[in-house]
Order: sequence, then C-alpha cells, then structure tokens
Amino acid sequence: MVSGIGVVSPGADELLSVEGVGSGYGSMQVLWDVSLRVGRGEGVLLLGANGAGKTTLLKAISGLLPLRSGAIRLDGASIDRLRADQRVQRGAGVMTEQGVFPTLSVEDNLRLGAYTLPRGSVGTVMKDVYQLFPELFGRRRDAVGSLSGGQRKLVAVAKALMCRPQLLIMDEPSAGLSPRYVKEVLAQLVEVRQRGLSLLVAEQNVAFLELADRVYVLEGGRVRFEGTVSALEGNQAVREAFFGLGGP
Amino acid sequence: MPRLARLRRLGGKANGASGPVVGRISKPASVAAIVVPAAGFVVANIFYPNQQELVMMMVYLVMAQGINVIYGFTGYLPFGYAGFFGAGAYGLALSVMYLHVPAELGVVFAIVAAVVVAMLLSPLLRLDGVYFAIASLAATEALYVVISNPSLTAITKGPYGVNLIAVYNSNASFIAAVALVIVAMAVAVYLRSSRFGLALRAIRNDAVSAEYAGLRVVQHRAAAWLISAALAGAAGGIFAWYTSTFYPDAVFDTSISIFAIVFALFGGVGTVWGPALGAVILFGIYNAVGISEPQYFQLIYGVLIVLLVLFLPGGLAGLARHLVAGFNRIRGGAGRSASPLGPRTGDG
Repeated sequence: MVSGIGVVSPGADELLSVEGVGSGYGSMQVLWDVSLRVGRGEGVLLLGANGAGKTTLLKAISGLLPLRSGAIRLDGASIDRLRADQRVQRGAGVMTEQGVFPTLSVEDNLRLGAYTLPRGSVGTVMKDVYQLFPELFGRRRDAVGSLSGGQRKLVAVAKALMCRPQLLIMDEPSAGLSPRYVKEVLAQLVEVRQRGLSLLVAEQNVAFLELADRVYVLEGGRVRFEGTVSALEGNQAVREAFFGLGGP
Repeated sequence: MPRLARLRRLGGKANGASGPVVGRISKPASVAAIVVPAAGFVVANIFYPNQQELVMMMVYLVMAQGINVIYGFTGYLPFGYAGFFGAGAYGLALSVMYLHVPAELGVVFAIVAAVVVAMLLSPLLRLDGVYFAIASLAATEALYVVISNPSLTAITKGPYGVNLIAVYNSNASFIAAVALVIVAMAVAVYLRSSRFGLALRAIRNDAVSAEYAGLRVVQHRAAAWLISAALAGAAGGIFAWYTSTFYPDAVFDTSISIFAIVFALFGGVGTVWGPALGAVILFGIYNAVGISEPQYFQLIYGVLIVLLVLFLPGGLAGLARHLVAGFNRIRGGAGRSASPLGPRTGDG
C-alpha cells in the first residue's frame, strides 16, 4: 500500500455535494439548478453531449466560474466562496482535457501539480506517483510535448494526483485518445480508485461506465437522469437519446 | 529550398518564447550568470574610453531582462515598456529636486514610481496579445503627455526637461548600474530556477490548466509585471542620474521599448543569458555603426529583425540549444537522443 494518495479520513460518507447550482458566462446562463453528489470512495460519471454543460459544471465546482445560485460543499464544508487554489488545497484535484504544460518537463509538470502542498512533502508524493506510473519516471526530464498522446494523458492524471486529492475531477480523460490508450488510462484509474479516491468524471465515452457507481446525465444544463449504472442501462430513453444504443 | 526549410526548423515553433526550455540551471552556472556580466562591465570600464556607452549598454541589458520577465515568462509584450523607464527617471529626478535626497536613495524613488505606475496599469493584464501591447503603448503616451505638459512646468519642468547637475557623479552612477546588472541577472536566474518561475512558465503555457492546478494566475502575473516595472524604473533612475540632464521625450521614447524588446528577442527570451547577450551584441553594433552612419544601422537592424522572425524565433539561445542537440545526435545516438521530436534539456 502506498501512502499519500487517496487517504480517506473517516466521518461523513458524502464528499462532494452540489445543490441547485446555476452558473454561466456573461449574459448566458449554462447551468440550471444542478444538484449532484459524490460519496466517499465513489465513482461518479457525468455524461452528456457536447454543450450539455459538463465542463461548465466542473469549472463551477473547481472555482473557475462563480455561482449564480446554489451551494457547493466539500468534505462537509462550504467551498463555493473559496478560490480555486483553496479548493485544490481542500482535496479537489482537477484533470482538464489538455491538462499538461507541453514545453515543461514531466517532473516540472508534476511539481506544478503539487503547487498547493507544503514544499517538504512534494518529494514523497512524487515518489508515490512515480510508483503508480513507472513509465513516466523514465521520461521525467523530457518535455511533455515530446511524449505520445497516451503518455501525456498519464502525465495529466499523475499531475492531478500530485495535490493529494480526496476527489479527482476529470474532464474528458478519453479526449483525443486511441481506444488502446483509453483502456490504459482506464486501467490506471481503476487502480487509483482502489486506493479509496473518489472520482467525478465528465465523459462522452461510455467505456468509462466501468469506473462508475452512479451516473448523472446532463442535457441543456440540467440533470436529465440520475441513478446507478444498471438503472441507466435500463433506461431506454436515455440510452437512445445519448448513446444511440438501441435495444435493452 | 532545403536549406531554407532546415533553417526554419532551427527556429522551432513560431512562438519562440514558449519553446522548449526544459530543465534547471545549475548552481555554478547561476553564479557565473550573475557575476560575469557585471565583472565584464567593470573590466571594460578600465580599458574602454567611452563610459557613457557602457552605462547605456547596462541600462539596455536591464531593460531587456525586464522584457524577459514580463514577456519571456508570462507572454505579455509591453510596447509601452518605456513608460516605466520614464517613470523611474522622473521618480529619481523629482525626489532629488524636491526632497533633496541623495541620488542613491533617488534610485529607490525611481523604483517606487515605476511600481506605482505598474499597479495603476495592472488592469491592462486582463487584455490579451496585441490589445495589451497597444494599450500599454497608449498608457505610456498618456504618461508622457502629462509629465511634459507645459502647465505642469512648476512640478515636472514640463517639456523643458530636468537638470540634476547637483548630484552628477559618473563613477557612483556607473557603480549603481553595475549593481543593477547584478540584480537583473539574479532575477533571471531566480525565474529560471525557482518555483515561482516555474509557475509563470506554466501559466504562460496554459493559464486555465494552471488555475485548475491551484496556481494563482492573476497574482503571479501581477507579480511578474511589478518586477519587470521595478527593473525598468531602476534603469530609468540610473540613466537620469548618469546623464543628469534630460528631456521628457528622451525617457518616454518608444524606441526604448523597441530596443529592449528586440534585444531580448534576439538573445532569446525565457532564458538567463539570451537578453543579456542580445543587449550587448546589438547595442554594440548600434554603437559601432549606428551613431556615425544611422542609415546603415537601420538597414542592419531591419534585416536582423526580419531574419530573426523568420528563422530564429527562439533567438540566439534557441540557436544554441539546437546546435547542442544536433551535436549530441551526431556524436552517436548514445543515451537519450533517441527521440527525434524530443526537445531536450538545455540551460538558458
């Protein structure tokens, strides 16, 4: 067992709660009354077509976009007034679609992921992360831009883990990846989950259902469906509308 | 034209400053970068008869490092950079004239004046690219118009310029310039080796990802902006001290900004040595050719800028990096050169 990543503190089993959140850009409201929960150690998948508001919701949760209504709590405390860096410090790590700094080395990327940690602890966490992603250790001095697309994605995941998150928020980890690398990234995430880390993953790729305990489906900035993976699979309307999957 | 294509590749990406500058600078290299330029100017002062030229070269070295801080590390290109220089020159002049402080202390006032101007202008950082460049130019014009306004003659001496002959001291101001060169080189070393510098480069790479990672983007950019302004302010103050009489158009001149930018780009921004070498080489050429034959200088200068933009967006430092990488590859594929796409490590 590796220490440092995904250390779960005992207590309430609800890690993230989003209550009736509305948000948007300028005069355009994107999210309407969105509520969502992620339990401790739970994997939650956020599905939705392009423009459904997935990224906007993740921005609101991580503090890049102010709320117009509603509330967000992390680990029992209200975080919707906190700056983005304070939310990272409280354990909400984010991996974005691009997610890496291509002209910097792998190690510098990881170091930046740990920017909110006290300096003394960076070395330990980095060792943990290298154990999880041994192939990154061999490339640690190379610019991330020189890595393959799949390796870059691993750097992005590793970088997000460097802040010692309780909750790992990911925006489209499968974007731009070949099916082979989707599998590889999925396998890493399964391992990360086994350490007790909670996941909130926005995706279009249904392969990620494998990771999820529960699913939310966003449409037009509202939650259209909420339930377990098996409930989603039984919901014919959602299946047809979002994934073009006919039949039960 | 295979040769042209090859040259183009040498330059790497069009956005030279965000090119691969991977890795850190070692301790001995840091010390050398801080000590060698200053020592060079001290030695040159013994053998070279034109001290004013040396002081101007140091002033431009500092200005080029200031551009390095704000452009090389954050991507903002201030065409109005001379505004901080002018603010510094007047900060020193007014504090010496009215508060009767010694010129050494006047340099502190110069820095304060430039930093205050930078704070007032910090909302400009919300603008991007060319809008920022133009807005900073306009802000500098506005500052110039205010300071050179004849109705403010009682305070700023308006368009008639200031006279600081009472504190004129060429040796003391020369030493101050050498000290400032040390500071400017130390700032560049700090940015190339510190967490703060790493954060700036990350923000330059991708501000949104940086914010997601918990970096305080606005705060970091503002800090770089103020550091850059402080360097230009100190340079302006020392210039004012050394020349002791100047007109407002001399210290708010747009060509000061252009020189600083071109020197920095020629040497290579985002590195420690690039802007310093750029200032020494190009200002040297300017003095050798430009003063006696200005039209030739403009020709050389124009051609250099065109060649730079076309073939060497990473500047001299980018060229050096490519040569080193090429040399390593030729030496026989040993080690880790097996990644042809791999921008390898290189110190600035």
